[in-house]
Amino acid sequence: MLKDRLYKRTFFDIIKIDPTLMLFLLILSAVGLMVLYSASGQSSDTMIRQTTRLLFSFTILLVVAQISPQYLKLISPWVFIIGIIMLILVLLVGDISKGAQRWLNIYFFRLQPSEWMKIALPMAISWYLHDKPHPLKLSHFLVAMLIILLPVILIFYQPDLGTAILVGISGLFVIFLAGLSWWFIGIFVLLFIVVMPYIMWNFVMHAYQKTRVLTFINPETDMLGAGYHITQSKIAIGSGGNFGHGWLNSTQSGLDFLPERTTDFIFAVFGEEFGFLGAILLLCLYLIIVYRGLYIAIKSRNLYDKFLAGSLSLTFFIYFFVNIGMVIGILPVVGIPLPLVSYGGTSMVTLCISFGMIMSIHSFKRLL
Amino acid sequence: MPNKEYITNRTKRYEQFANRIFTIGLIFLLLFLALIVRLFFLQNINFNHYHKLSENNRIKTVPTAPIRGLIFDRNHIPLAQNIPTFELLITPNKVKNMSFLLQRIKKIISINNSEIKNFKKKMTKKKPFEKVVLKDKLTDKDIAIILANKIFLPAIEIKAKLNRYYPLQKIAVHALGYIGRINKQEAKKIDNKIYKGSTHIGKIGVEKEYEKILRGYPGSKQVEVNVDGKELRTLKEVRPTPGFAMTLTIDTRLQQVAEQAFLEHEHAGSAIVMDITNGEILTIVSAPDFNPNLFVNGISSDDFDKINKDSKRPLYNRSILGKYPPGSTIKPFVSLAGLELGIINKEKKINCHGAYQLQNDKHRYRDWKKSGHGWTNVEKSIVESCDVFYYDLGFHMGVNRMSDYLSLFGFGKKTGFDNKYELSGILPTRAWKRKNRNKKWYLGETLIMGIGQGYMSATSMQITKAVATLASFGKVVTPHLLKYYTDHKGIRHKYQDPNKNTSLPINNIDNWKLIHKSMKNVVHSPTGTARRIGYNTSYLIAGKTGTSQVYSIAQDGKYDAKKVAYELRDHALFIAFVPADNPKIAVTVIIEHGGSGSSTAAPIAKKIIEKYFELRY
Repeated sequence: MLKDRLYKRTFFDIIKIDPTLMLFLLILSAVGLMVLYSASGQSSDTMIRQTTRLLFSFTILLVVAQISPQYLKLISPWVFIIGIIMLILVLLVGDISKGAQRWLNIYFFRLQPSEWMKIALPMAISWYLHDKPHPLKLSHFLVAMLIILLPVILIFYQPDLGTAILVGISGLFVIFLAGLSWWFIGIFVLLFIVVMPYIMWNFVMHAYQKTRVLTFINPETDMLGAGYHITQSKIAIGSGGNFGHGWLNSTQSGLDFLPERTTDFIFAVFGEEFGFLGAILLLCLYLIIVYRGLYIAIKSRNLYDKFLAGSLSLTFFIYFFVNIGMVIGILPVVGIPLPLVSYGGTSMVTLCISFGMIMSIHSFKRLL
Repeated sequence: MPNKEYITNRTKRYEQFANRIFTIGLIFLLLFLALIVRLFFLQNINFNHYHKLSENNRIKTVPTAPIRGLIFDRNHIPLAQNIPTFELLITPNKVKNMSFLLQRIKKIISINNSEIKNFKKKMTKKKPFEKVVLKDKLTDKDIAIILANKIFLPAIEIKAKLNRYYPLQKIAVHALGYIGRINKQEAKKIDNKIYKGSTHIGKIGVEKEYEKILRGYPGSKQVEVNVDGKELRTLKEVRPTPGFAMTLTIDTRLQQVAEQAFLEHEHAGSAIVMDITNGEILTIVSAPDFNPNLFVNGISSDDFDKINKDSKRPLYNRSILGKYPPGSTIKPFVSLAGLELGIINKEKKINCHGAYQLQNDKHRYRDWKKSGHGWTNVEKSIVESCDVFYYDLGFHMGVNRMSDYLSLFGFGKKTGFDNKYELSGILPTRAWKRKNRNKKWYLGETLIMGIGQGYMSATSMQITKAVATLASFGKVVTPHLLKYYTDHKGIRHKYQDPNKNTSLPINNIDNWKLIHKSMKNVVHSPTGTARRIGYNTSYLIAGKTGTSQVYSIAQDGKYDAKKVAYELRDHALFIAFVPADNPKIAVTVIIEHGGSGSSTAAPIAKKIIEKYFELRY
């Protein structure tokens, strides 16, 4: 205790920030702005909006970082319950946009409850499992699974399969980290491999989702329809070569061949302009951020903190992995943006909240 | 169950957590490597493939059509030009409500229903983002109105293009021909490499015959396009090679006089004036005529009906497709045959009583002059056009000898005129009749062949060539319209005569001179059949009239032009070369159903010849 009191507090300790993680997040955001400038056709309007969003999101990050993990643990179940209520509301009274009910109008601003759940669910599971023994008992596991399935099903019915899966995975990460017996994992994986595709295909997936999967398996069959996105993005990335065409020189994007180039398919623009070398550097940037998150999780001194930081970091990996995997054609097209790079504010705010939490977990461990 | 005791030890628990992180970290590292490997495949190994696809996406090669060569007459008067016209284009993909837009356009400029119908038809066949023509040949007023309203009319565009135009309208239309849109049959035959970007092709006349010279060679433009197919910038351009300018042998001034002469009497027929020294066609008329400009962008069905239903068939090129019995115009050639083959000499006389009879044949071969011409020698037979003289000469010469000699002058053969559709006429022989009519040759048919009747037929062009050969003492030239063409480097390519330096065998030049003299006397002697055109001329004309029967009258019947239907009336012919003593040009005039050669054909020839001497280059 004495040692802690004598510990010299730096500036970053005072504002409760992990400088390493922050540095890489800022670099990533800067790279993102640069690519977006090119992808948007050098639209200053887009730049101003995205910069405003980034400033707003990072402000939230700083604010969230000030909240002690203990307090986060305390409010976890309530955050989750509010999330569930909002999900139910959105199904009843939500705004319909692009054929799906995802938004909730709360007076002057719109809220996407499924985004809320991306954080609320890992919090809730971490809260539930932080005092449970290792390995998990069956009953604990089943309760945790229930906590996961409830929001997943609600999100799925919006319908938003992509987010439902991502939210589910973030919960499963916590269960895994909490010490789910390898037996369970084995059975789970087996079940997943054997039964899930069948159930998904026949009972769960909508026609457009099936088209996406079929297109993913063979994109060239439908060059101008659903396969067009993926075909054009592969052309963009492939034509980038080893070193790329250079910044602002993407023809696939500049001449509008690439659809969704500022949002979900922005990595294709990056790949075309900066080539294989640039892509590796960007991927490493993401990997470093994940690594730092996991490092913080390991170094933290509280199971709730570990579970939450671990789950959030691993989910971050899934975000960029799924997005890039989709853009380069090894995963089906799901509407997941490239974190901190794609144009759009909702996911950015969610991400910054989760990184704010990781920062807080990092900073408060010393104060324990 | 490996671990029944709950682990409470905190450090142990942290270790287990760390292990889990390492495990999943390892799995993620593998996933991460999968991304890298995939990227390596896309960007390194398959780079060329995707690079090509990307270039295919953005770079389109657009053909640029060459400008068609101009056509001039021998005095550089333009006969075929390219003039800019403006057309209204719509990009249907950019239009949300097409019928609304069409209504709007209709309100400001006049558009008829057939234009809208055509537009809708084309719209169904177009490629995405292709522009479709709504109206062409916009007037200046239309353009001004459209431009002023442009902001209310999205997705419309006014584009200039070059249109073929024949400034002299109907003048020399059959010789010149016209171009029109490439039709389905032509599209199958043409070389797509050469016609890339072209929409028109020569259909008839010089425009078709010299298509290769006139059309030029297309260029290409590599343009960068966006996803809508919009051209953003030109990356590379190969300019098209323009078509070569052509100068024809036609003299428009002479041509106009000739056409006017036909027009005055509403004659149908043909007239050709040829330079006998080199075969240049100074004038070539086929009457009636039509306006080629109607055909360039597709003739309307009304206009076409008007032309097509005309019983005189204006589209029919009589100069090379009309086969006429030469009638008495053949007589100078038959006489020359008789003289050169030694069958007769210039003193040989026969007594003409107005008819000729063969032994054991009741048929009377009548002369046009019932009372007969009395004692007639070669010269008189030509001047007065005595038929009996030629019945007798034909009798002694026989059909095959006559045919052989006439074929030296090009009868029965194509002239080599630069329109490959010309017909070769018929120069009958015994073998010809057996083959084509499956009958033996009758002696009577030899007799009437001597006066250019029966099976024999020739085109106006063939007759002209024969007259030229006769006038130039056997020198053979090929009639042609191309004087020279000027290529894109400015080099002139003159017409090359395939018959250069060919001449007919001459036994005795005096025989030829006799024929020349006789033909001069046709016009310039008091008994000549064409004496009416011979008065008061400062120059000498050598000519020969001809009247060819279309319909045989009964043995003792009487031909009365007024009573016979137009289609059955005789054709009137006149051949001439001037000046008689030093021939420069050959003239042929054929008036379909014109009656006698002396009364209708000769006066027209006179007008042409008069104009020729007036111009006298």
